Amino acid sequence: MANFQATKQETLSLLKSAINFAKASSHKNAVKRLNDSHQHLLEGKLFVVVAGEFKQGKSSLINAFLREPGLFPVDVDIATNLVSTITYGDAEKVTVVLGEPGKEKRKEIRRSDIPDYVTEQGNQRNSKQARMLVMESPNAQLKEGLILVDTPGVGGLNVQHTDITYAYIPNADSILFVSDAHAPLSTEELNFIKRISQHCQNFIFVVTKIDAVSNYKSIIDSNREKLAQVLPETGDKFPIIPVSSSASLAYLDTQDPEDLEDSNLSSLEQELWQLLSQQRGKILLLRALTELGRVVADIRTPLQAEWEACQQHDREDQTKLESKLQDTSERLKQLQGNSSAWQYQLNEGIQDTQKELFRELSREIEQIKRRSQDYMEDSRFLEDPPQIARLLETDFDSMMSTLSEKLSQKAGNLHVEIVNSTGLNMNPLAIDSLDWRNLGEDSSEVRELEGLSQVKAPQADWWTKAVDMVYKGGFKATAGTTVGTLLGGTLGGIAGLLFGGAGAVPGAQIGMALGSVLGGVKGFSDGAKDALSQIQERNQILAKREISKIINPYIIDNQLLCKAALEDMVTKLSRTMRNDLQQQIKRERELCDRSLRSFQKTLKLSQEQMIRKMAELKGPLQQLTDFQKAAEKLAMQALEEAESDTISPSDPAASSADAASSDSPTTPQPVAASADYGDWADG
Amino acid sequence: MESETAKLIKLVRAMPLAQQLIPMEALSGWPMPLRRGSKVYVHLPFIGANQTKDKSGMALFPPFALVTVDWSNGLPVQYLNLRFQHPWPEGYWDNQAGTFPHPEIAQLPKTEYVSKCQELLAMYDHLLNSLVKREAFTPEWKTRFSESLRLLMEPGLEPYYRALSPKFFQTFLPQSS
Ligand SMILES: Nc1nc2c(ncn2[C@@H]2O[C@H](COP(=O)(O)OP(=O)(O)O)[C@@H](O)[C@H]2O)c(=O)[nH]1
Ligand SMILES: [Mg+2]
Repeated sequence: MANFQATKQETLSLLKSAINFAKASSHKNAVKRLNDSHQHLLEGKLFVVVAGEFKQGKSSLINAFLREPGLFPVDVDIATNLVSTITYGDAEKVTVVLGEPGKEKRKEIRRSDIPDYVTEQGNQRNSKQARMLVMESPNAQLKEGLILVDTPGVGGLNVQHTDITYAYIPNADSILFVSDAHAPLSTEELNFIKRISQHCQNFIFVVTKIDAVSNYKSIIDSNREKLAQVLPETGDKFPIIPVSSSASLAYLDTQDPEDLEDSNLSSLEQELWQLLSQQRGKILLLRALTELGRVVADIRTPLQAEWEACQQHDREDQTKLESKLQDTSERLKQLQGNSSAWQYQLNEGIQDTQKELFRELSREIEQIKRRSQDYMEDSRFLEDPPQIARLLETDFDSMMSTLSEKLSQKAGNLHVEIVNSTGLNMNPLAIDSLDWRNLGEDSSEVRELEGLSQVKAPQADWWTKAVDMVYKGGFKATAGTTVGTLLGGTLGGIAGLLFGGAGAVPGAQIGMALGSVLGGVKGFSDGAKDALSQIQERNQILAKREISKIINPYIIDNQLLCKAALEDMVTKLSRTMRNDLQQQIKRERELCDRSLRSFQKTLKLSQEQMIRKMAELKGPLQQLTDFQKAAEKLAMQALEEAESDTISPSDPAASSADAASSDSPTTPQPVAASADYGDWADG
Repeated sequence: MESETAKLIKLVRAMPLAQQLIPMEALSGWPMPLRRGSKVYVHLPFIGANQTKDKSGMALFPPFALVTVDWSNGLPVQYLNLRFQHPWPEGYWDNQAGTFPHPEIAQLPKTEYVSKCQELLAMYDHLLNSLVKREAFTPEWKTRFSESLRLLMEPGLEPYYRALSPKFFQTFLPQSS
């Protein structure tokens, strides 16, 4: 897509004009739907998680990206020990989430207090029990809905707080993995990347501090080689961007364009926006545009019917159109019935999905059990038994992320199948006449297939793609909902804090259920860790016996919890899907009936009245057509595949370094006896 | 065109030593020359800095480190932790010493400020090279250098600069009292 930010602005202003039109013509319901869409697009959040080991320059990178030196504490000896998020808000607001899981409290603090909570120095071993820092800022860089997540180091060193970091990762819209130019990626880092790549492939690898070394290119080559081994599916297409946060921050003081160029931050921003546009950004736009299309069609179709009625002077044509509308209405009525084929299709699809997920759950649990045996055999863990619970906790977390991701994929596919087979996927933007809505009309191909009538109408390619993306995208759990609930039910508001009115898309429900199961796993794990830390036994065999007395029930508890959560997800999901489809059918039918009534009423008008009617209709119809055309153009713009060029690490330093040459010293002047030879410098 | 002095400052900031000990938010101050026999060295002070609350600039704190490098090859010869050494009376550390930009330069357009900095750094090249060759400084040049340094040096940091290199500052920014 050419430019997400620009397309988004255009879409927002198109929505605004449509809202004004709907207001002026008193279509109250349309006004509401359009306002909702406008709001969703405006508030749609894009999650960017900044991950990497300690001290690599994550916080500095965020400060540079936001052009706010010192926003997130950075220092040689300051270590971030808390997940912090920052998102757009009209005024600056900093909130810490404090307290035990399930009993969190929110507290507003000042910006200058941030280090007291976020750094190891200000908050040793997290004695303040801070769980997360949530910041809103009127920073222009965040305006398009970015949520940046600054994480503590996620290497082997740091197990505390990784739960929240991990919770963000499965559904992040982009992960900036930060390592510095002092050294190539370590085995630990590569292991981490490999693990999370199972959940999220939206990586951008950032190599920071290129100002500090002369050979950062060889580091990049080495990283590329290593990454190609742990990410074999991606080939070597992943972007690696060299940057210097310090050059970028220096630019704020010096305004020296050389600093800006040296920083290479613009390449990073470009790459990030390209990735985001290809993914969720596209879905956000298409969701707004398809809804706009539907609302406009809702207003337009009855008007179009009146127009057609004035045009058809031939009695035969009139009856033909009338019966087409009647047939459509009849067919929609059938779809509304409980025994309609799509209802079976949905039930069966859901049941199959559930069975498959349960099978996979059992397989995964077996694996976890086997792994727990391995851990217990390992003498290193006998030294530190709580470590076993920590490792298993992460295993459960990532299992649930994988399973819920599968569920959303399958549900998305099912929804699209149903929408296609019922003919509900028709393109409302393609109306020239009423023909497009003739479900069951002979120009489209109707097949009876195992009791399911499938309607196939010619579809614009881009529309099919858009519908596909919007539906499937809607089912994706977002990092936001997951984390919102992970922070505990008492914190319902925190989700709102982060996501605004993200809306009840099915993905939010999956995310919510996922969040609560992760929270539950965390609770069990904390219990197990406590119990394990009590173990004093030095004898290996006896210690192992004690550990398994704790670990085995822990695994069973988690297994039950995960199973119940999956069931819950599936039930909620099928309910939402059913409601959603029923609503859509109902709306279509109402529209069809309304159009039919308008058509019939108009036919009764006198010749003169018809002429007047046509004059009345002309303006609004033209206006509505314009909206549709504009929406279509924007949707195509959003769908345009971004050019698939791989980013070659550009060399920001070369150009400026070559150009630099020293001033030739001024020629020495003849001097007098009392001349100043710089004795003041001697010492 | 980048002056040798500017390059040297960049080099110092990129040294592993500085990487380890000097946070990147710290600002480098104006260099102070030192000559020992045939060798010329550069003292480079580092100044604690923080964005001000209203984000209009940076709050400056007293210099906290002094790195000394050999002008001929850029190699470090000394790192001085000023908080450890405290060459001036105590009790100053947490007090804001000044603001960047200070009023005189705040009113300049950015580009003019940048070119003034580049000019002064280029004059440092001349200063340091002349010290090596023991070439004399003309009064006109000294006046230009003094004026430039007077304009660009943060007034709030002046006492600290003077404490670090009394003779250099007495020469170029003589105190009337
Ligand atoms: N020279 C240089 N130093 C940097 C850069 N980015 C970060 N640093 C330094 O690296 C250290 C760790 O940075 P920080 O952002 O706190 O790392 P984090 O722990 O990953 O968040 C700090 O001393 C920073 O001043 C950079 O681009 N260049
Ligand atoms: Mg950090």
